[in-house]
Amino acid sequence: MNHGRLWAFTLVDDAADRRWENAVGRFAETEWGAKFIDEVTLIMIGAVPPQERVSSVLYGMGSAILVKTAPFDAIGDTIQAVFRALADYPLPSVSVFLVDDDWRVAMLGAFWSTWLKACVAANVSSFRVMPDGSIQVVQDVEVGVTQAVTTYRPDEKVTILWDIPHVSTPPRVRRQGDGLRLDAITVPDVNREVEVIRLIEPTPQELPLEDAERVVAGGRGIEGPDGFAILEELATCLRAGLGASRVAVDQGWISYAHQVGQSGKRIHARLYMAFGISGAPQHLDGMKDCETIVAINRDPKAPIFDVAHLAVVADAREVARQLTLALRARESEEHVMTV
Amino acid sequence: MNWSVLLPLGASEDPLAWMESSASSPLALGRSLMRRYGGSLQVVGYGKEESPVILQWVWASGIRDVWHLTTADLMAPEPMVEALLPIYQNRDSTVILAASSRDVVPGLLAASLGWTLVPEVRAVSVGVDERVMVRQGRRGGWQADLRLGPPLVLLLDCRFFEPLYLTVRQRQQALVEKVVINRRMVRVEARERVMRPYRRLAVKGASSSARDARTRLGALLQTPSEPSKRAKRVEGTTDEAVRAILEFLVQQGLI
Repeated sequence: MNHGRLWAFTLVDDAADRRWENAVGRFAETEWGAKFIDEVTLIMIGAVPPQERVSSVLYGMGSAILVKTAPFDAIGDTIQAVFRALADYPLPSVSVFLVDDDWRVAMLGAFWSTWLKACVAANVSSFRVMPDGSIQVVQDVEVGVTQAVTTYRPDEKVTILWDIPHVSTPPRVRRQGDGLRLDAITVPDVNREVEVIRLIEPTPQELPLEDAERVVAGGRGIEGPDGFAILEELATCLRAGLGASRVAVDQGWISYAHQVGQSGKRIHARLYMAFGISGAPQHLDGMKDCETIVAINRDPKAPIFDVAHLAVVADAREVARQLTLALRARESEEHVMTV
Repeated sequence: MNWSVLLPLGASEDPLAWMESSASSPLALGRSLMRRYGGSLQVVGYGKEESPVILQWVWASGIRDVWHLTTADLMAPEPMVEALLPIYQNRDSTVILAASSRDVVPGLLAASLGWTLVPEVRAVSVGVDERVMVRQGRRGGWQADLRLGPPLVLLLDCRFFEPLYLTVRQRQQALVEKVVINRRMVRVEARERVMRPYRRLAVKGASSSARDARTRLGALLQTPSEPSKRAKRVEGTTDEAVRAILEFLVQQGLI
C-alpha cells in the first residue's frame, strides 16, 4: 500500500554550486521507506543547472521540478511566489528539505511548512515511511546523548528538515535518469523590499577553500610568513583561495583554516598550485582530487611531482613573485585592449 | 524603530557560560542598536520552565520589556510560534534579532507574520531614511550590503558580534532585585514521542573499518598516479618557469 508523494527540496546558488549533487546522493543512499511512496520528486530552487546535468545524477528520483529564480538574499515575497508556482502540481504529503551547513534551507523548510500548513520536524537525523503510511522521525535532542522518536499520523502533512550526514566519501548510488520527467519553471524576483547596494568580493584570506575554484598553496619552501604575503598577492591576481601544508601551519606562518590535507581540508578545486610543498602523503590526500595540479619545488624528486600535471623545478618564492608580476602585466594589457 | 530579541533558553544552561558565549550576542546587538538609533527593545525568551536566571540578567542589562514563554515540549515549535504571534502582530516597524542556529522558530515566526527573513547577517545599522542596512555573508566568501524596510527578522551570524557584557555588580544586583517578567505557558498537544539514548545510524563493523583503513593507507602506499606519467616537467631559470606556467594555464583555459 503506497501513500502519496514525497518532495525533496534543495537550493542551488549558482552554476558552480554542486552541493545539491552530494545532498541528493546522500538522500538516495539512505533507507527511508521509498517503497511505500508513490512518487519521489526533486525540487531544485535557485540557479538551476542544465537539465542534462540534473537527469544524469537524479539517483532514483521519479521526476524533478527546476524552479529558476533569483538568489535568496532574503526569504520573503519571492519564495511565496515560488510556492504559488509549485501549487500547480499535486502537492506532497511528505516534504523533505536536504539541510547541509546552509541555514537557509532549514528556513525555507519553515516557510514551506507554514504555507502548506504542515507539521515541521527539525534536526532530523533519520526518518522512515511506515507501511501504514505513518512517518517515524528521529530527532537529535542532544547530539551524542538523547534522541526523540516521533510518529506522525498518515493523514498529517509533514515537513522534515533532514540533516545530511557528513561523510567524506562520494555517494555510491548513481543511476542514469532514463524516462525522467523534468519540468522547468521561472519565477521572477519580487522581493521589492530588498535592495542590494553592493557586492563585496572575497580576499584570498576569506575565500573558503572548499568552495574555491582555484587554490594557491604554500609549504616549507615558501620560507616564512613573508612568503605567504607573496602568495596572497598571487592568489588575488588569480582570484584564488590560499592554502597551506601542515608544516607551514605548524610554523605559525598561516592559520589552521588554510591547512590542506588529511588533518585539514580536502579540496576539489579546478586549479591547485603548490609552491614549495614537497607532497607528504597526508597532504596529497587532501588535494589529489583537484582537476589540474601545478607544483613548483626546488627538489626534483619531490613526491608532489608524482601527482602534478605541470612539474616546475625552481625556487618557489621567486616563481610566485615573478608570476604575480607577469599576471598583473597581462591583466593591464588586456585592460588597455578592452578600452 | 522597535527592536526585539528572540532568545531560545536551554533546559539547564549555565548563565555565565551563556553570557560569555555568542548566544548572548543578539541581546548585546539589540542593546547597542537601541542606544545608537533609539526606539524600544523587547526580549522574548522561550524554552523550558527552568532558566529564569538568564532573563534576570537581561533585566539587569537595563531591558524592562521581558517575556518568558515556557513549553513542556521543546520539540514542537508550532505551538511556540502561535504563542509568539500576538506579541508581534500589528508591530510594523519592528526588527527581530535572532541567532543563526538549528532553531526553526524564527523562520516559522517570519513565515506566519509574512515578514521578510534575512539570513547570515554580519552587521546591522540604520540609514537616514529609517531603512535597515545589513551586511550579509554569502557562499564562496562573498558579502553583500542590503537595504531593507521593516518589519524584518534578521538571523545573525554570531561570530561577527560581541557577546553581552555585564559588570559583576549588575549580575549580583540581578539576583536580589525584583524582576517583572511577562510569563506565559504554551499549551502543547500531546504527540506520541519516545525519548531514547543516542544511537549512531551506521555502526562500523570490522569489514567497514578495514575498508576505511585501506583508503587511508592507500594515500601512504600510493604508486605514481596517472597525471605524473604525462606531466610536463620544466627545469630552467625563473623566467622560463614563469613562461611555462603561464602557457600551461592559458592552454588549460584557467586564465
